[in-house]
Amino acid sequence: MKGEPLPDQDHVSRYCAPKTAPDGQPTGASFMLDPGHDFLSVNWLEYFDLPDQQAQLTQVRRVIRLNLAANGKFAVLNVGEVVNYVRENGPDNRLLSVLHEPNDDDPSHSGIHGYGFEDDWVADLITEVVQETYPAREP
Amino acid sequence: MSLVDQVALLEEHKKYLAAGGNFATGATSQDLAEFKEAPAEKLTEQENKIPRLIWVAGLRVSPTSDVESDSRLKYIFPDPLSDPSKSPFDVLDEMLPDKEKVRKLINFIRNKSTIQFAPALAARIHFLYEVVEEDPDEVSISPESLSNFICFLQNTPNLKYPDVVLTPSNEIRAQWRTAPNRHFAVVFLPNGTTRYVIFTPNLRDPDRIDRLSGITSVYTLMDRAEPHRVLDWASL
Repeated sequence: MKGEPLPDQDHVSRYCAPKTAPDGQPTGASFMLDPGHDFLSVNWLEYFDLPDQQAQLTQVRRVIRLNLAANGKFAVLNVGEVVNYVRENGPDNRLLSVLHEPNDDDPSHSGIHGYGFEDDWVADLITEVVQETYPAREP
Repeated sequence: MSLVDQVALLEEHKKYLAAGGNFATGATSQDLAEFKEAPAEKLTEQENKIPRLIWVAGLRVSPTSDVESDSRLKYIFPDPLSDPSKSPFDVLDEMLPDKEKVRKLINFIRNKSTIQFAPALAARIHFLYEVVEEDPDEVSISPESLSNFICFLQNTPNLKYPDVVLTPSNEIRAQWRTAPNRHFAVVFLPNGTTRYVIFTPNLRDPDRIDRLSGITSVYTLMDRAEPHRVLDWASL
Protein backbone atom coordinates (compact mmCIF):
# COMPACT_ATOMS: atom_id res chain seq x y z
CA MET A 1 0.00 0.00 0.00
CA LYS A 2 1.32 3.46 -0.88
CA GLY A 3 2.97 5.18 2.05
CA GLU A 4 3.28 2.05 4.15
CA PRO A 5 6.57 1.78 6.10
CA LEU A 6 8.74 -1.15 5.04
CA PRO A 7 9.65 -3.68 7.75
CA ASP A 8 12.96 -3.01 9.47
CA GLN A 9 14.32 -6.43 8.57
CA ASP A 10 13.66 -5.96 4.84
CA HIS A 11 16.00 -4.59 2.21
CA VAL A 12 15.97 -2.01 -0.54
CA SER A 13 18.22 -1.56 -3.56
CA ARG A 14 19.42 1.73 -4.98
CA TYR A 15 20.69 2.07 -8.54
CA CYS A 16 24.11 3.80 -8.47
CA ALA A 17 24.96 5.37 -11.81
CA PRO A 18 28.63 5.30 -12.88
CA LYS A 19 28.87 9.06 -12.43
CA THR A 20 28.34 8.55 -8.68
CA ALA A 21 30.33 5.34 -8.38
CA PRO A 22 33.02 5.47 -11.06
CA ASP A 23 35.05 2.67 -9.52
CA GLY A 24 32.03 0.51 -8.80
CA GLN A 25 31.90 1.61 -5.18
CA PRO A 26 28.88 3.73 -4.18
CA THR A 27 29.71 7.16 -2.78
CA GLY A 28 27.62 9.75 -1.00
CA ALA A 29 26.56 11.09 -4.39
CA SER A 30 24.83 7.75 -5.03
CA PHE A 31 22.36 8.56 -2.26
CA MET A 32 21.86 12.28 -2.86
CA LEU A 33 18.45 13.52 -3.82
CA ASP A 34 17.72 15.26 -7.06
CA PRO A 35 16.64 18.86 -6.35
CA GLY A 36 12.85 18.88 -6.48
CA HIS A 37 12.51 15.27 -5.34
CA ASP A 38 10.92 14.52 -1.99
CA PHE A 39 12.59 11.19 -1.39
CA LEU A 40 15.32 8.87 -2.61
CA SER A 41 13.99 6.25 -5.02
CA VAL A 42 14.76 2.65 -4.09
CA ASN A 43 13.26 -0.77 -4.74
CA TRP A 44 11.83 -3.03 -2.02
CA LEU A 45 13.49 -6.39 -2.58
CA GLU A 46 11.25 -8.57 -0.39
CA TYR A 47 8.23 -7.33 -2.36
CA PHE A 48 9.03 -9.97 -4.97
CA ASP A 49 8.87 -12.87 -2.53
CA LEU A 50 11.84 -14.64 -4.09
CA PRO A 51 14.44 -16.75 -2.29
CA ASP A 52 17.53 -14.59 -2.63
CA GLN A 53 18.76 -11.13 -3.55
CA GLN A 54 20.06 -12.23 -6.94
CA ALA A 55 16.56 -13.30 -7.94
CA GLN A 56 14.99 -10.20 -6.40
CA LEU A 57 17.37 -7.94 -8.33
CA THR A 58 16.56 -9.75 -11.55
CA GLN A 59 12.99 -8.57 -11.05
CA VAL A 60 14.12 -5.05 -10.16
CA ARG A 61 16.07 -4.85 -13.41
CA ARG A 62 12.88 -5.69 -15.28
CA VAL A 63 10.66 -3.09 -13.66
CA ILE A 64 12.97 -0.17 -12.95
CA ARG A 65 12.38 2.85 -15.18
CA LEU A 66 15.98 3.83 -15.67
CA ASN A 67 18.66 3.30 -18.29
CA LEU A 68 20.96 0.92 -16.47
CA ALA A 69 24.58 1.50 -17.44
CA ALA A 70 26.85 -1.47 -18.05
CA ASN A 71 29.19 -0.35 -15.28
CA GLY A 72 26.45 0.83 -12.90
CA LYS A 73 25.70 -0.91 -9.62
CA PHE A 74 22.85 -1.75 -7.31
CA ALA A 75 23.58 -1.07 -3.65
CA VAL A 76 21.58 -3.08 -1.12
CA LEU A 77 20.59 -1.55 2.22
CA ASN A 78 18.80 -2.97 5.24
CA VAL A 79 15.84 -0.74 6.11
CA GLY A 80 16.24 -0.76 9.89
CA GLU A 81 19.99 -0.31 9.73
CA VAL A 82 19.71 2.80 7.55
CA VAL A 83 17.16 4.43 9.82
CA ASN A 84 18.99 3.60 13.03
CA TYR A 85 22.46 4.48 11.75
CA VAL A 86 21.45 7.93 10.57
CA ARG A 87 19.50 8.64 13.75
CA GLU A 88 22.36 7.54 15.99
CA ASN A 89 25.22 9.12 14.10
CA GLY A 90 23.85 12.31 12.63
CA PRO A 91 24.07 15.67 14.36
CA ASP A 92 20.30 16.15 14.75
CA ASN A 93 18.80 12.72 15.59
CA ARG A 94 17.38 12.68 12.08
CA LEU A 95 14.59 10.14 11.70
CA LEU A 96 14.37 8.76 8.19
CA SER A 97 11.49 6.60 7.02
CA VAL A 98 11.41 4.06 4.22
CA LEU A 99 7.97 3.96 2.62
CA HIS A 100 6.37 1.96 -0.14
CA GLU A 101 5.78 4.21 -3.20
CA PRO A 102 4.45 1.82 -5.89
CA ASN A 103 3.63 2.99 -9.38
CA ASP A 104 2.02 1.30 -12.36
CA ASP A 105 5.27 0.02 -13.85
CA ASP A 106 7.16 -0.67 -10.69
CA PRO A 107 5.19 -2.13 -7.79
CA SER A 108 8.35 -2.45 -5.66
CA HIS A 109 9.20 1.25 -5.93
CA SER A 110 9.83 2.78 -2.52
CA GLY A 111 11.41 5.88 -1.06
CA ILE A 112 13.76 6.93 1.72
CA HIS A 113 12.13 10.02 3.20
CA GLY A 114 13.37 12.58 5.70
CA TYR A 115 16.20 14.44 4.06
CA GLY A 116 16.72 17.00 1.36
CA PHE A 117 19.07 17.48 -1.56
CA GLU A 118 21.41 19.63 0.53
CA ASP A 119 21.75 17.07 3.34
CA ASP A 120 24.92 15.58 1.93
CA TRP A 121 25.91 14.18 5.32
CA VAL A 122 22.83 11.91 5.33
CA ALA A 123 23.87 10.54 1.95
CA ASP A 124 27.40 9.96 3.27
CA LEU A 125 26.08 8.11 6.32
CA ILE A 126 23.85 5.90 4.18
CA THR A 127 26.91 4.94 2.15
CA GLU A 128 28.45 3.50 5.30
CA VAL A 129 25.71 0.89 5.70
CA VAL A 130 25.68 -0.50 2.16
CA GLN A 131 25.52 -4.25 2.71
CA GLU A 132 26.16 -5.51 -0.79
CA THR A 133 26.60 -4.33 -4.36
CA TYR A 134 25.46 -6.08 -7.55
CA PRO A 135 25.99 -5.29 -11.23
CA ALA A 136 23.32 -3.03 -12.67
CA ARG A 137 22.89 -5.37 -15.62
CA GLU A 138 22.37 -9.09 -15.48
CA PRO A 139 25.80 -10.78 -15.29
CA MET B 1 69.80 27.62 9.18
CA SER B 2 73.44 26.52 9.07
CA LEU B 3 76.10 28.43 7.12
CA VAL B 4 76.38 25.55 4.67
CA ASP B 5 72.66 25.67 4.05
CA GLN B 6 72.75 29.44 3.61
CA VAL B 7 75.55 29.16 1.03
CA ALA B 8 73.66 26.44 -0.79
CA LEU B 9 70.56 28.58 -0.81
CA LEU B 10 72.52 31.56 -2.11
CA GLU B 11 73.91 29.41 -4.91
CA GLU B 12 70.42 28.31 -5.83
CA HIS B 13 69.28 31.89 -5.80
CA LYS B 14 72.14 32.96 -8.09
CA LYS B 15 71.41 30.08 -10.42
CA TYR B 16 67.80 31.10 -10.60
CA LEU B 17 68.58 34.76 -11.21
CA ALA B 18 71.07 33.82 -13.91
CA ALA B 19 68.34 31.91 -15.64
CA GLY B 20 66.11 34.98 -15.63
CA GLY B 21 64.10 34.28 -12.49
CA ASN B 22 63.18 37.01 -10.06
CA PHE B 23 63.08 35.22 -6.76
CA ALA B 24 64.39 32.19 -4.91
CA THR B 25 62.10 29.21 -4.85
CA GLY B 26 64.23 26.31 -3.69
CA ALA B 27 63.68 27.60 -0.20
CA THR B 28 61.65 26.48 2.74
CA SER B 29 58.50 28.36 3.60
CA GLN B 30 60.37 30.20 6.29
CA ASP B 31 63.05 31.26 3.81
CA LEU B 32 60.42 32.50 1.43
CA ALA B 33 58.78 34.46 4.19
CA GLU B 34 62.13 36.06 4.95
CA PHE B 35 62.86 36.65 1.31
CA LYS B 36 59.53 38.35 0.83
CA GLU B 37 60.73 41.12 3.12
CA ALA B 38 63.79 41.84 0.99
CA PRO B 39 63.61 44.75 -1.48
CA ALA B 40 61.91 43.72 -4.67
CA GLU B 41 63.90 43.80 -7.88
CA LYS B 42 61.50 45.64 -10.16
CA LEU B 43 58.96 42.91 -9.96
CA THR B 44 55.62 43.33 -11.57
CA GLU B 45 52.59 43.39 -9.36
CA GLN B 46 51.74 39.85 -10.37
CA GLU B 47 55.21 38.52 -9.76
CA ASN B 48 55.26 40.06 -6.33
CA LYS B 49 52.33 37.92 -5.39
CA ILE B 50 53.98 34.64 -6.23
CA PRO B 51 56.41 34.09 -3.33
CA ARG B 52 53.73 34.88 -0.79
CA LEU B 53 51.37 32.41 -2.36
CA ILE B 54 53.93 29.69 -2.58
CA TRP B 55 54.67 30.23 1.06
CA VAL B 56 51.01 30.15 2.00
CA ALA B 57 50.52 26.94 0.13
CA GLY B 58 53.73 25.47 1.53
CA LEU B 59 54.82 24.56 -1.98
CA ARG B 60 58.46 23.86 -2.75
CA VAL B 61 59.82 23.71 -6.26
CA SER B 62 63.33 22.82 -7.37
CA PRO B 63 65.42 25.63 -8.94
CA THR B 64 65.60 23.96 -12.33
CA SER B 65 61.92 23.24 -12.56
CA ASP B 66 61.21 26.80 -11.44
CA VAL B 67 62.97 28.20 -14.46
CA GLU B 68 60.94 26.08 -16.78
CA SER B 69 57.71 26.61 -15.02
CA ASP B 70 57.54 30.32 -14.37
CA SER B 71 54.32 30.47 -16.32
CA ARG B 72 53.10 27.47 -14.36
CA LEU B 73 53.62 29.30 -11.10
CA LYS B 74 51.62 32.24 -12.31
CA TYR B 75 48.53 30.10 -12.21
CA ILE B 76 48.70 29.97 -8.44
CA PHE B 77 46.64 32.95 -7.41
CA PRO B 78 44.31 33.40 -4.45
CA ASP B 79 41.74 34.83 -6.82
CA PRO B 80 41.78 33.27 -10.27
CA LEU B 81 40.05 36.31 -11.66
CA SER B 82 43.18 38.33 -10.88
CA ASP B 83 44.81 36.73 -13.92
CA PRO B 84 41.92 36.33 -16.30
CA SER B 85 44.14 35.66 -19.29
CA LYS B 86 45.24 32.36 -17.80
CA SER B 87 42.29 31.26 -15.76
CA PRO B 88 39.90 28.37 -16.38
CA PHE B 89 37.19 31.02 -16.10
CA ASP B 90 38.20 32.14 -19.62
CA VAL B 91 36.41 29.13 -20.99
CA LEU B 92 33.21 30.18 -19.30
CA ASP B 93 33.26 33.55 -21.05
CA GLU B 94 33.05 31.90 -24.43
CA MET B 95 29.71 31.45 -26.14
CA LEU B 96 29.84 27.68 -26.25
CA PRO B 97 27.50 24.89 -25.26
CA ASP B 98 28.21 23.54 -21.79
CA LYS B 99 29.62 20.30 -23.14
CA GLU B 100 32.19 22.21 -25.18
CA LYS B 101 33.14 24.27 -22.17
CA VAL B 102 33.67 21.07 -20.21
CA ARG B 103 35.88 19.67 -22.97
CA LYS B 104 37.96 22.83 -22.90
CA LEU B 105 38.25 22.68 -19.14
CA ILE B 106 39.44 19.07 -19.37
CA ASN B 107 42.10 20.22 -21.82
CA PHE B 108 42.98 23.05 -19.45
CA ILE B 109 43.51 20.55 -16.64
CA ARG B 110 45.62 18.32 -18.85
CA ASN B 111 47.76 20.95 -20.54
CA LYS B 112 47.83 24.14 -18.54
CA SER B 113 46.83 23.62 -14.96
CA THR B 114 49.25 23.49 -12.04
CA ILE B 115 47.44 20.57 -10.46
CA GLN B 116 49.96 17.92 -9.44
CA PHE B 117 47.74 15.01 -10.46
CA ALA B 118 46.49 16.73 -13.62
CA PRO B 119 46.71 13.69 -15.95
CA ALA B 120 44.74 11.45 -13.60
CA LEU B 121 42.20 14.16 -12.88
CA ALA B 122 41.72 14.96 -16.56
CA ALA B 123 41.15 11.28 -17.25
CA ARG B 124 38.59 11.02 -14.47
CA ILE B 125 36.66 14.11 -15.59
CA HIS B 126 36.76 12.86 -19.15
CA PHE B 127 35.31 9.55 -18.00
CA LEU B 128 32.51 11.37 -16.17
CA TYR B 129 31.95 13.54 -19.24
CA GLU B 130 31.51 10.47 -21.42
CA VAL B 131 29.21 8.77 -18.94
CA VAL B 132 26.96 11.80 -18.89
CA GLU B 133 27.03 12.31 -22.65
CA GLU B 134 26.09 8.67 -23.26
CA ASP B 135 22.82 9.10 -21.38
CA PRO B 136 20.28 11.15 -23.38
CA ASP B 137 18.40 12.01 -20.19
CA GLU B 138 21.42 13.69 -18.62
CA VAL B 139 22.46 17.33 -18.79
CA SER B 140 26.13 18.19 -19.19
CA ILE B 141 28.57 18.44 -16.30
CA SER B 142 28.26 21.95 -14.89
CA PRO B 143 31.23 23.87 -16.37
CA GLU B 144 30.98 26.49 -13.63
CA SER B 145 31.20 23.81 -10.96
CA LEU B 146 34.18 22.23 -12.70
CA SER B 147 35.91 25.58 -13.07
CA ASN B 148 35.49 26.31 -9.36
CA PHE B 149 36.89 22.88 -8.55
CA ILE B 150 39.94 23.48 -10.75
CA CYS B 151 40.60 26.84 -9.13
CA PHE B 152 40.27 25.30 -5.68
CA LEU B 153 42.82 22.61 -6.51
CA GLN B 154 45.22 25.13 -8.00
CA ASN B 155 45.01 27.30 -4.91
CA THR B 156 45.39 24.31 -2.58
CA PRO B 157 48.25 22.42 -4.18
CA ASN B 158 49.08 20.24 -1.20
CA LEU B 159 45.94 18.09 -1.44
CA LYS B 160 45.98 14.45 -2.46
CA TYR B 161 44.12 13.22 -5.50
CA PRO B 162 40.48 12.92 -4.44
CA ASP B 163 37.69 10.63 -5.57
CA VAL B 164 35.70 12.73 -8.01
CA VAL B 165 32.05 12.01 -8.77
CA LEU B 166 28.99 13.92 -9.92
CA THR B 167 25.92 14.92 -7.95
CA PRO B 168 22.45 14.27 -9.37
CA SER B 169 22.64 17.79 -10.87
CA ASN B 170 26.01 16.98 -12.41
CA GLU B 171 28.04 19.23 -10.18
CA ILE B 172 31.50 18.11 -9.13
CA ARG B 173 31.83 16.34 -5.79
CA ALA B 174 35.32 15.60 -4.51
CA GLN B 175 35.97 13.29 -1.62
CA TRP B 176 39.04 12.65 0.49
CA ARG B 177 38.30 9.63 2.64
CA THR B 178 40.64 7.17 4.27
CA ALA B 179 38.34 5.86 7.03
CA PRO B 180 34.83 6.44 8.36
CA ASN B 181 36.30 9.03 10.75
CA ARG B 182 38.53 10.64 8.14
CA HIS B 183 36.12 11.89 5.55
CA PHE B 184 36.08 15.26 3.76
CA ALA B 185 33.66 15.66 0.86
CA VAL B 186 32.82 18.83 -1.05
CA VAL B 187 30.24 19.74 -3.67
CA PHE B 188 31.41 22.61 -5.86
CA LEU B 189 28.36 24.62 -6.82
CA PRO B 190 28.17 26.70 -9.99
CA ASN B 191 27.85 29.97 -8.06
CA GLY B 192 31.20 29.66 -6.26
CA THR B 193 29.89 28.24 -3.02
CA THR B 194 30.59 24.78 -1.67
CA ARG B 195 28.72 22.29 0.48
CA TYR B 196 31.08 20.28 2.63
CA VAL B 197 30.89 17.30 4.97
CA ILE B 198 33.59 16.42 7.48
CA PHE B 199 33.80 13.28 9.63
CA THR B 200 36.83 13.58 11.90
CA PRO B 201 38.05 12.15 15.22
CA ASN B 202 36.96 14.12 18.25
CA LEU B 203 39.87 16.15 19.58
CA ARG B 204 39.53 15.01 23.20
CA ASP B 205 38.14 11.53 22.61
CA PRO B 206 39.53 10.13 19.35
CA ASP B 207 37.20 7.13 19.55
CA ARG B 208 34.29 9.47 18.93
CA ILE B 209 33.56 10.98 15.55
CA ASP B 210 32.70 14.63 15.02
CA ARG B 211 30.38 15.04 12.03
CA LEU B 212 30.01 18.49 10.55
CA SER B 213 28.58 19.98 7.42
CA GLY B 214 28.19 23.47 6.07
CA ILE B 215 28.14 25.88 3.19
CA THR B 216 30.92 28.31 2.43
CA SER B 217 32.69 30.05 -0.43
CA VAL B 218 35.21 28.07 -2.44
CA TYR B 219 37.82 30.62 -1.28
CA THR B 220 37.16 30.03 2.44
CA LEU B 221 36.61 26.29 2.26
CA MET B 222 40.00 25.33 3.65
CA ASP B 223 39.74 28.02 6.34
CA ARG B 224 36.66 26.20 7.54
CA ALA B 225 38.03 22.71 7.05
CA GLU B 226 41.57 23.00 8.39
CA PRO B 227 40.62 23.44 12.07
CA HIS B 228 39.02 20.00 11.82
CA ARG B 229 42.38 18.55 10.75
CA VAL B 230 41.27 17.38 7.32
CA LEU B 231 44.82 17.92 6.07
CA ASP B 232 45.91 15.05 8.33
CA TRP B 233 44.47 12.69 5.75
CA ALA B 234 43.75 14.86 2.70
CA SER B 235 47.18 16.41 2.14
CA LEU B 236 50.29 15.01 0.56
